[in-house]
Amino acid sequence: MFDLSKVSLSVFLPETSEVEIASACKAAIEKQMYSVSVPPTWVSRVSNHLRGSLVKTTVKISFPLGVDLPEQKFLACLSAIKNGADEIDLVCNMGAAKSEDLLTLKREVVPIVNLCHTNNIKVNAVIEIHLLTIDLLEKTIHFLESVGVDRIATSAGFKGMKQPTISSKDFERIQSFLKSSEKIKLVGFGDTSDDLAVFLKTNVEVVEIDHRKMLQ
Amino acid sequence: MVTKEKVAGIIDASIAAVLAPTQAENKSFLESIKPFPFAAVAVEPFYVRETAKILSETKIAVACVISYPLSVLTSDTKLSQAAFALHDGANELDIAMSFADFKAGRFDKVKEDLKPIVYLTGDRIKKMIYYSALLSTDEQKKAVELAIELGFDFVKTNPGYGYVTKPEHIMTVKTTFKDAIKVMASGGVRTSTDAMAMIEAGTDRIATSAALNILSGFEE
Repeated sequence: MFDLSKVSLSVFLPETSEVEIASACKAAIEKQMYSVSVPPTWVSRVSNHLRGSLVKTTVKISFPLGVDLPEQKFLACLSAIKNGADEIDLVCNMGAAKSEDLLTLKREVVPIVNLCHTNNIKVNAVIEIHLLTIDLLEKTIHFLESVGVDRIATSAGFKGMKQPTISSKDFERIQSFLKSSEKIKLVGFGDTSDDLAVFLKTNVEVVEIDHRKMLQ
Repeated sequence: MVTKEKVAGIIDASIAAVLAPTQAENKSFLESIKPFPFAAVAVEPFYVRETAKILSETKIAVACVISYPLSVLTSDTKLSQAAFALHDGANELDIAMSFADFKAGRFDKVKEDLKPIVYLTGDRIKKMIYYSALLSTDEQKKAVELAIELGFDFVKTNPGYGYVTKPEHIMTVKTTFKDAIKVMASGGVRTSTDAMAMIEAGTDRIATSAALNILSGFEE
């Protein structure tokens, strides 16, 4: 039996029904999971379902590739907090990360970190790790850690982008780049129960799983 | 005969095949398509300003996608995204309807969500993305009805990312609504054969990340 207290259930495809959202929240409460990760449109609904439990509402901002303006991301974040978000998954601008444009990353991440920390909300900086060279991955992670994000999330987890899954080797590499090696939100791994078992034994803080896979 | 020029004139080209392009990659893409008379280039919000600058001396419009690709923004953030895009130089907006509200039958909410953006866009071209790949034929008709009621110029079938448009989706719009609204085929149109199938079905525009490949299949 797995310890599911590290698991975040993700629910974000447009075709997901409201019944599925409700059942994902119910399962997260029953199994005492870490959070339910959703896009901005469903924050109020999910936050209401989870009220009274310890399960957090995590909101994905600028999904899936982060190619919004910094101002826009800030407004989306503000709105998510107003609607009940307990934690933010901020998808970093991957176009900027790919070109080592740290100024753009700084403009989007710093105000949101300040906003969230003022509200006692954690910020997970999402980077699509397979879009970066190893050198850029290291630089991006160092930068994000230096501006105070709470965790690095390894992918946005959107299958439509057909990105490779995150392997144990990828995970170890990211750990090696972090000063605090446990500050990882693992997203986009193989999604089988064997994969899950492997990662739950590590010191990863949060593992995100698609709700349809998890509830099977 | 369908010529290269005629096809280019109904294509919205995009760089979507490159995930999160750098500004340099976007610039190089724009330089590659500039010689052709494409209807528009579709970009995500971060790229609008640079794209508008680079295309300023051409007749190619800049279309910005809003609440893309999965229709997951709340109404207030969707409106601000549209406002930033227009401010940065977008001539056209491709706006995803609120799919969750649509599927739940909350059509008034779908309209409330889009109305302010329609007003804001004014006489610039606006297209409503309605996810035809996820809807029954009756639902597709209902979505198009809403777009007409709201004053959209086009309906755009899908956002891409695996949501594929079939010629039947185009025919449903054309046979049911005739000239009341235009339709843009989007999602899975990658070759000249795909493009011809959409043209024969009656599409008014095609959105594709394979614009140059499509053009290469047509004669001057």
